[in-house]
Amino acid sequence: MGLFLRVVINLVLLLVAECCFAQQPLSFSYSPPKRDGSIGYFLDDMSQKAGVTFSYSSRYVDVTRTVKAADTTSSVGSMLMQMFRPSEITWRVDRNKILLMGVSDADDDSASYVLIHGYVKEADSREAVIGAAVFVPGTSFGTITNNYGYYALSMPATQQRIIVAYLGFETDTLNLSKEAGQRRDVFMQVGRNLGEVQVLSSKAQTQASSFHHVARSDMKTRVVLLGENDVIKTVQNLPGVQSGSGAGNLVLVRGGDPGQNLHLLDGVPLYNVDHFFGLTSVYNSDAIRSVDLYKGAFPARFGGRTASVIDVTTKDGDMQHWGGQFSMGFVKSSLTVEGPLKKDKASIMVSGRRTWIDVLWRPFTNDVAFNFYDLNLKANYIVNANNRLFLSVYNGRDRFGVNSGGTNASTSWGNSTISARWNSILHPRLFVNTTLTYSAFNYLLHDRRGISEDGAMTLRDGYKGVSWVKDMALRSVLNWKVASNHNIETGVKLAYAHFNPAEVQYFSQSNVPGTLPERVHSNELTFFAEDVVKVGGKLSLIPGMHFANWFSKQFDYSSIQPRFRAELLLGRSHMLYTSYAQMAQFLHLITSTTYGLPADFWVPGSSTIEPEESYTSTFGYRFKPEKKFFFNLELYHRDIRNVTAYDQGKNLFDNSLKWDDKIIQGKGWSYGVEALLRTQLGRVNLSTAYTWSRTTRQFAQINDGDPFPYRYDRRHNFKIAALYQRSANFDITANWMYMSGEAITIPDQIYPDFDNNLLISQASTIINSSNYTYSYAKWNGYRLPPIHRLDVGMNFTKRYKRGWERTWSIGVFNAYARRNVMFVDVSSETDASGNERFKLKGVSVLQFIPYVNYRLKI
Amino acid sequence: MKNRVTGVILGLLGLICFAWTGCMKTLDLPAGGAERKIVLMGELVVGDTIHFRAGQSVPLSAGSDMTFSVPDALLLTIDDGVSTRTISGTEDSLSSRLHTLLCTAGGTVAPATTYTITAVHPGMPVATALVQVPGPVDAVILDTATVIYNTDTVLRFRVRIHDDASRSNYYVFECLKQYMDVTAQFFYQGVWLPVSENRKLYNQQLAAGSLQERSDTSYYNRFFRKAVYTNDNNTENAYINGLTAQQSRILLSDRTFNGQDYTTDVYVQLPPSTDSVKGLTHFYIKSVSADYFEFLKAYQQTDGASAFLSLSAPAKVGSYVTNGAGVIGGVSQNKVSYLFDTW
Repeated sequence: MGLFLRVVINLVLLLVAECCFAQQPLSFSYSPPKRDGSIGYFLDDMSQKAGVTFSYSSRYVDVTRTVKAADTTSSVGSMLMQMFRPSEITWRVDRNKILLMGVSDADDDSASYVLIHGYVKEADSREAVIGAAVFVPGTSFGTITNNYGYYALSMPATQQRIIVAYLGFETDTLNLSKEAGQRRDVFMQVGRNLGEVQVLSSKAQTQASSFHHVARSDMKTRVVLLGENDVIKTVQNLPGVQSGSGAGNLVLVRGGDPGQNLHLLDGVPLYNVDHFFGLTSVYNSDAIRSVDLYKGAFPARFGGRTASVIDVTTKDGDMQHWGGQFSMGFVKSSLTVEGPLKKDKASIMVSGRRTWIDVLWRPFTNDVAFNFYDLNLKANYIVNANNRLFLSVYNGRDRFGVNSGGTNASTSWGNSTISARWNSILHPRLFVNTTLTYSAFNYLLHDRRGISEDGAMTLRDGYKGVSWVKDMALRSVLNWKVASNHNIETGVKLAYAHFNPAEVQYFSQSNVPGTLPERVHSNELTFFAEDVVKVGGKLSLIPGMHFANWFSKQFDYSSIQPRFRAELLLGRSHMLYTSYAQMAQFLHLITSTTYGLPADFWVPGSSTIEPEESYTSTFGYRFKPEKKFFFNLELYHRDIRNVTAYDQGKNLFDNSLKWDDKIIQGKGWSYGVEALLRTQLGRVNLSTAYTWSRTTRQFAQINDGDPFPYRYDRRHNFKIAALYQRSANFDITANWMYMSGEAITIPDQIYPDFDNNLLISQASTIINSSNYTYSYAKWNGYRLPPIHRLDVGMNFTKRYKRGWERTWSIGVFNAYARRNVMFVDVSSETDASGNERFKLKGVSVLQFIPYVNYRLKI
Repeated sequence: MKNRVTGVILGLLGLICFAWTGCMKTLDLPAGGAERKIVLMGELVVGDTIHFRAGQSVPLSAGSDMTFSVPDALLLTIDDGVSTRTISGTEDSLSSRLHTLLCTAGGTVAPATTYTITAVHPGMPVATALVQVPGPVDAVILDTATVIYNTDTVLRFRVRIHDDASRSNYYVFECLKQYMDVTAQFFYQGVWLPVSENRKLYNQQLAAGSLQERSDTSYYNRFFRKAVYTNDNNTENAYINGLTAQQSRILLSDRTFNGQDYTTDVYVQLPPSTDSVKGLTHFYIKSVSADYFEFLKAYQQTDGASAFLSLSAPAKVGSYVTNGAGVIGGVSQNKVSYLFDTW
């Protein structure tokens, strides 16, 4: 481009800028204090007086060169015209900042940007840091590391400094050389300050209400029942997420059922996440690195569930040192060992847990047995700078048995998963993740009996009720950094699943056949693509699409699921955003409403059971004016189709019907407002979450086809958490929560017992006796009282010279012993007049439960 | 199995609850508006007189007195397709305990007949029950034996059913002990004296060899349900409570053997292990109406030992009385009786 044309263009641009954008930096008023001075002097003076920030590289700008300022100079733009030769320097405006560039770089857009890429890891252990912010200070250029700690940042070549920040770590500053395509791996030191991190980049999807990133330090600051710090308990404290009764492990997101949450462990789906009737989850917090929760605005790569995605990543294993930790609470113990198989090349992490309280009562009775265990194993191998292999294994089981008074029955359930993953950097702009996974969930119910006649055993048999699901999948995801304002993610998945929804197997000498197993084989083909486009410096558009096809010999379902997100920056502190996401799921969790009992089964779709679908829209506002303050407000609306439930009075193991004839489908809808406020007041970190919501269900076979409240339709849900960090060795945590009462079904009519009116009294040994019979008309028509409680805890940490760390944790669950109603009882009592009168009573448990935990980290 | 698991869990929760006082509190009742309904309950058994019981329900809502009372002015009509009779419910000695009136009509229940029973009360909706009485049940007891079922000593009844292929049949097996009292007496000096109250004199007379004795047997219209077991995987019980649990009734439909001979075993607990009373043991083989069978299936699932609990999914016990509640079951039965107790 000719010199004259370049000058004309710059003048024209200057005029346009001054005319149309009167407040642009170039048009800011400026009068130089003297005629002669260095470029550096005048740039500093303009920064102070006009409030403009200049970015430049010493490669192009000689700050020592002396220039003359004309007396008629009246603006920043005209001063720049006098300081720099148009043939050498040009500039670009970004809000209050002016970027000075060499003309040769400005001519070629691609050359004006460089791509910096690499991994962000912990300095001590070389663990990948997920969700770390990598950004250019004072600009809108930034990104976050992906689930494998990898980042790729396209930034102006004139910039020489980037900042890397993550909660719980010391912020790192990198000074860059001018070579393009730089590979810069970052090693972050653990920090003691648990305060907020200021993230300036609009590309970083942190703290948007539909998405939450939970770091390990977050999990340790929640007080929970019996001190069982748990991933699920941390997630339950986020807005839009409910627990069931407040103490269990149910995750209910924006009106969804538990089976509508996609639980991923290192990319592998888990089908059951409860241990010990919901006291703790299958996620071993000692083995967990981070958790991502998506409640809406789902990225295109996710599918298969309709309410939420809980993406849990385990630790890779320390690449530098061998070490571990041991912890012990009231219920279980946990041991984790990790270390390098070859330093900086390969590492392994093994973590196991098991109950120990059952061992205590075993000497006294064998009538009831209960225990659980789980084991996490992860190994990773760095093939070279661009390729890395991972292997993850999980196995866990719960077992419950009764052997007393002729009863010899047991039940067990659990997950087993394996995943093998390959990360590859094909090019600085191309990152590929390929995963092969296997996941299985098994439920077994075992009943035994023996019959002897004339002293000889004539029949020893029993039966087993089984339900299981097994799936294998191959998935590959490509992340392509097309340009500084353009990032594409695309991928494909092939999966095969094998279901046995409900089968009764008999082991008997009588050769009586069991139920015919109705096993289902299904296949799934998935394709997705998503594009992150930055328009100007303020607007981000993220359109995407997820396509899934489930097919078998009996059915063929396809689903095109559009996804869309948009974010608009309003100044440095404000953001508006909106999203729409359509999701679908082919699997259905048929659950009883009993608390934490293992009576939940996964069933596939069939020719009569259609896939569930959800349509979620959100609109939100985010305000983050400073480092220690964050506020988010979000509205959502969700429609759900083909939500599943048991037909009333039916049991999945009922022999009278095919299993899918016992399932009914209906619809639901939920809408609400969620608010999240986080701030730091001195040494106190404060987090407040409030949700107002309404959730409804409708089935033709229930409640005469009329809509009824979802059981967990809680109008108000308020949580506040405070962490007082007295010192590095002592902290106090307090959590207070309030939830409106849930909606339950109680009888509307009571009438006399049938057997009694046949003049038959019941044998005391038969537990099915009843004096009254109950009739139900309205479903979920009764509201329990609200639940609220205060949990407090303290951590005492001592650090030893060898790097060992010992922590005693003590606390109280439900510190003021609030009698929160857990279930309702209707029974008759004799009043003063001798009349039998019915009363509705609420029963509460879990009042004032203290705990003590011990943890040793080596 | 599910009930056992629930029971143990509830037991553990109860222990925890017991450890802290004040675990229960009275809750507000739902808003009022629910009205009482006529309740009809009973069986029409082939060859037996027509009798059943009628009462009214208690609405669980604010404004309800939350107590049972016997309805007054209850009128019923019974139509067997040939004739219609009108009767009224009457209070008897059991009404205050059962909260129902006794309803009786002349004549006996005929097999393969449909009865329409309509109940009218000024304060409640008109209730109607349609009772389909099955034809005669074709089943025999092949043999009996004393066996050990898990750890219980039981009497095994081996039953053969010859199923009628022309219709769907629903079988119910149960065992009831009828309250009975036997009073032994001996004759002395012109007076009959009870043995239990004059044991010494009785022994003297017996030793003297000049004893005249008699027994006075009284039967009561009250029954005691005996626990039964089954190992038949085709019964409904296999999927409701599990086959090792004690049952109230064994429920078996002809789904797997329609029109064929079918043999099944039913196990009954023998005295004196748990029986608190003495009497005559009746073993019933019943053929029942379809809606009565469905009612019993749901009724078996109700876990009423600790009344209603919201922890469990409500088991909807269907009502087979239009605009009312309850059921009148149509029954055709074979019965065998045994006397195991001694006095």
